[in-house]
Amino acid sequence: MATDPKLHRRSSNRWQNWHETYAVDAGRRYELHPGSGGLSPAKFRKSAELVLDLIEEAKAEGKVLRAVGGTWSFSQVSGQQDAWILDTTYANRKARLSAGAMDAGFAGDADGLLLVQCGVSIFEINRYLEKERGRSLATSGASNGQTFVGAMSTGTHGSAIDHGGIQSQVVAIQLLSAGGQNLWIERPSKPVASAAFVQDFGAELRRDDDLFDAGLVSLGLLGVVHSVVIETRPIFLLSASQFEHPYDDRLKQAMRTLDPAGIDIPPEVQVPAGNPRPYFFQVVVNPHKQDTPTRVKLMYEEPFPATHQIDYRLQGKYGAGFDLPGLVGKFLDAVDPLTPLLTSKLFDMQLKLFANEKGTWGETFDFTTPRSQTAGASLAVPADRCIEALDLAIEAHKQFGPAPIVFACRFVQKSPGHLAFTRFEPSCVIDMDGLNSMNTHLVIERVRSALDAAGIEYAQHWGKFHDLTGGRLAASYGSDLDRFRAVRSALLSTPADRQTFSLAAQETVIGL
Amino acid sequence: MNSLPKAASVLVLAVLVSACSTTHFFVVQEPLRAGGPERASADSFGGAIEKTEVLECESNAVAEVRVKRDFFNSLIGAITLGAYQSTSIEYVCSKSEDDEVPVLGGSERGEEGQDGD
Repeated sequence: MATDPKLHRRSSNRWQNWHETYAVDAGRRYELHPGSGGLSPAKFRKSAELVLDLIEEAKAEGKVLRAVGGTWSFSQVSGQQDAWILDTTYANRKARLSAGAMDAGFAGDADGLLLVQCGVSIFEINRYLEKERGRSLATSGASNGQTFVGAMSTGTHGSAIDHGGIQSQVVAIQLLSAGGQNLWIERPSKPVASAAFVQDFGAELRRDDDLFDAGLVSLGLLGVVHSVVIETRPIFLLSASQFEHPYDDRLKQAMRTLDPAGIDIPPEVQVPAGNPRPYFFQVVVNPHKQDTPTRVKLMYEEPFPATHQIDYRLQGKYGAGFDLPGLVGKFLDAVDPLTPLLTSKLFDMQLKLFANEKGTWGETFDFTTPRSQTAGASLAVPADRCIEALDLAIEAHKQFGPAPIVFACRFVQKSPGHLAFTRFEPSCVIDMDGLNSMNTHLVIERVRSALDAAGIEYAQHWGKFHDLTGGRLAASYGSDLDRFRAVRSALLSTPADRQTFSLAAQETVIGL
Repeated sequence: MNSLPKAASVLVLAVLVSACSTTHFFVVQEPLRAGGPERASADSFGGAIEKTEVLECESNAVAEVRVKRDFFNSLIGAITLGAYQSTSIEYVCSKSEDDEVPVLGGSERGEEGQDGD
């Protein structure tokens, strides 16, 4: 028998993020359940009403409400001490839109659109699109455990060089906010759903670029994103290769221009004759040994052959224990002379060499073995300043390290959203990933300081470790930050409204 | 030179602690994880006492289980000749899957614009 959506209040208020970098005692914890029997507009309305009622209850009680997804973020951007936490991950319904749902001005392919509720994970989207629809995401982060809405709300970047961050695939946002606001937000230049369709969802249609750009990367500061409509693309294969390459002028030029055609690609790597531009480009540098070659990963797009069997299944294997990364990090804090040796070993183990491994998007960016007590930060810089920034990072590590950390450079186009951190055309993202140790955090902060001192523009990934100050935030986002604030003030007109959707970790620096 | 005894002591401690800890990780092949890891009690006093721990998963399904036993748990178990056993259990609930993925918007084709896929 079909059941209706419901809220479930959990008995325990203890909450922890996936990577176990922080834990809080929430005021209350709720889960949003979608009900059984398939999605319908009536169920979507009911689900939205439950959330809208919860928003008003939290506001009346003077509580902050934080919606959380896969809790993948390292930084304190989701759960918050004493806040009411709404776990959205169960709310995982999807729907296609018929041609009859489209606005008369819609110019795309309705068959390529997918409506996803807030709890749908990247894996669920991959599996549905690739196995049942012959379609694919164009980009995502490197793992599949995040919810799409959560990854979008923090501006997750990926490394598809001709695409923006994950949010660049969104064409409509359903936002639930204070005062019973149930908004369906689109761009005026890209209308999607008809007014009748939106009304079926109990929502109010708003076509407003500023509101859309604020809603794309909103950090939960505008309300609860209940669903989004995404544009997908026809399914394709990626042919992935990883090889060594010296950190020389040719590679540096490739990193500045996002064009690796001039580097030494090993002969065993099959470069498509008609399309030599890779879909994905990544360079990983081991800062512990200057003479160690970098690891370059290239992925080329290929047609999807009908004979390819898609397989996402996990295989049983030994791996690092859940406490081991933290233990090793603490160990290396105490015995830092061993850091270069151990990090270099990990570099070799984690970044094996291979050529022409084929897989769909979902097979390539699959389940990540949970890594608790790892740490990471990401800085986006203009691609033409990528090498300056990377050299400063290497130098900062040399001066203030060693730390159990490596630098990975990924590349994306400028991404939509007022608070999108990949805001440069195009952007080079320097991911600083390693074990969660004091030295790791020290080096990351020294890298930020070095960029500040050199006057290199940069912005930081919201979901990874950042130490934002008001000055850094203003320098990163400039007038876009003002636009975001203006949208928020218009949407949340009273102090109580704004309090309900606030974020303590950022409150002092965003000044909201 | 002062760092050498410190390093040795940290190394010994790390080896001792890590060597006596075990983690077992059970996961379904295509996990649909919902929420984060939750903790469940797994202490027992003597083989005859058994407690049923009801996991709080509204979906009635579990995606993964982690079982951890550290050095101190093992030590206490040994001291009490096995009468007291303590293990840390963490679990992640699973969400349910779509019954169907409908096509919405063709109001002429079904109630409230829904029809089947």
